[in-house]
Amino acid sequence: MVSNLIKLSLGSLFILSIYSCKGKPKYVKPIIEKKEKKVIDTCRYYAYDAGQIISNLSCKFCHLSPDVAEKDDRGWATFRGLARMDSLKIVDYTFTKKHKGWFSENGPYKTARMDTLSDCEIRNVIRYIKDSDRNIPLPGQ
Amino acid sequence: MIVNLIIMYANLIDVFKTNISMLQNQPLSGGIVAKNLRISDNGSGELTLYGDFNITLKVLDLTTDGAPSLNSLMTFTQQVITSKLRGGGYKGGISYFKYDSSKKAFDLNKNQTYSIRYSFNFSVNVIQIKMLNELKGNDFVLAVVDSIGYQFTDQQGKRHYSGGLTNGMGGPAVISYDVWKRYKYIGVHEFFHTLGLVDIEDNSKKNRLMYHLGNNTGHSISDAERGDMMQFIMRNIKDMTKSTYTNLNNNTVKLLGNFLNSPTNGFKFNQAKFR
Repeated sequence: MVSNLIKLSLGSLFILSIYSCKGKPKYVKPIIEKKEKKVIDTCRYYAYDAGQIISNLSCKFCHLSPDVAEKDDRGWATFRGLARMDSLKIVDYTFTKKHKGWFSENGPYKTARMDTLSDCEIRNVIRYIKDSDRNIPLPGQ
Repeated sequence: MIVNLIIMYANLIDVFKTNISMLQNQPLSGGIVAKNLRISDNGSGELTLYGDFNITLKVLDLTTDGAPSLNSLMTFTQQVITSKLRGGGYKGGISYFKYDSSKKAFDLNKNQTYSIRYSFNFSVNVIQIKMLNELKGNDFVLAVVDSIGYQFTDQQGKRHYSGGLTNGMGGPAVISYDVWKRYKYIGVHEFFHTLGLVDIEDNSKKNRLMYHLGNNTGHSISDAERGDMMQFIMRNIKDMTKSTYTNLNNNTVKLLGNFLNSPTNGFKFNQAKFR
């Protein structure tokens, strides 16, 4: 009985010693291919949609269009005047300062969609404004 | 810069002429002439604009061999424009200045959000002119040419020939006589570009007049488009407080000349007729 126990203990010790002698598996560093991150611009310009935004925001009630001058008799920028502004200035003027706060959360025109426009919509609106001064022909079928 | 100054002076001269015409009680002229303008405020954020409007579109035949079907095409175009403008239009959510009914003026110190109902009566005239000197600075014009070489690319990247071209909002329009004979609505389509509408390319909107990729299934105008045209026609709502109104001098003759002679547009026409 005792000899059996001794045999079992020695066998277990032998097996454990074999496992403990086995080398640790080598850590292989995964090869990460360095690929250039491709940014796909999904923002698509469609004049009709941009025109709808302009229409819904009723921009042209104050920024008169068409107009040959850049400012009207009140000194406000006409639509042509907006078109001749630098794009960054339009963003700042229109979408950041939001017309003296009129279109901000607490402004009188807080229900207007201006605050909820996506970056893509803002870009397209700016292109629409700029295009209005570029004499781009409007083709019919 | 110099061109801008010239245009500004031309515009000022036009304003003086209009004012003198009004003082002398002479008939006003131009693409848009309006009388009996008035505003009604319902006190609950809705303004209704009233007025009697004359819209005139002058057609200039610049084809080499003449255009025998021109009269019937012009009659058709006049009828369609009239029917599309009938009933006025509506625009909601307009951020503007508060209207003071007692003073019949807008208060530039107070803001108000309005719905605007356009209740305009329209009389539309599509008339042919024989000579270039019959064209004035604030007229609308549709020049008819032999052909147009200009091609455009749609959203899917497909190239298309143009049957008509319009030089931006308020600008002159040019159409190919052959295309006009085949597609009678193109005269209206181009004129509505002049009145501020843009092209539609959605396949789901083939029933719309402003769809421009061919095979239209209809020729409808949406309420939003009608509202936009009304807004173009009465571009400065403040002018509603005057009793009469004409559209801005857009220097039509000069614009048409530049547009016709721009090589990128590829217009073929009888040069001798444009003098």
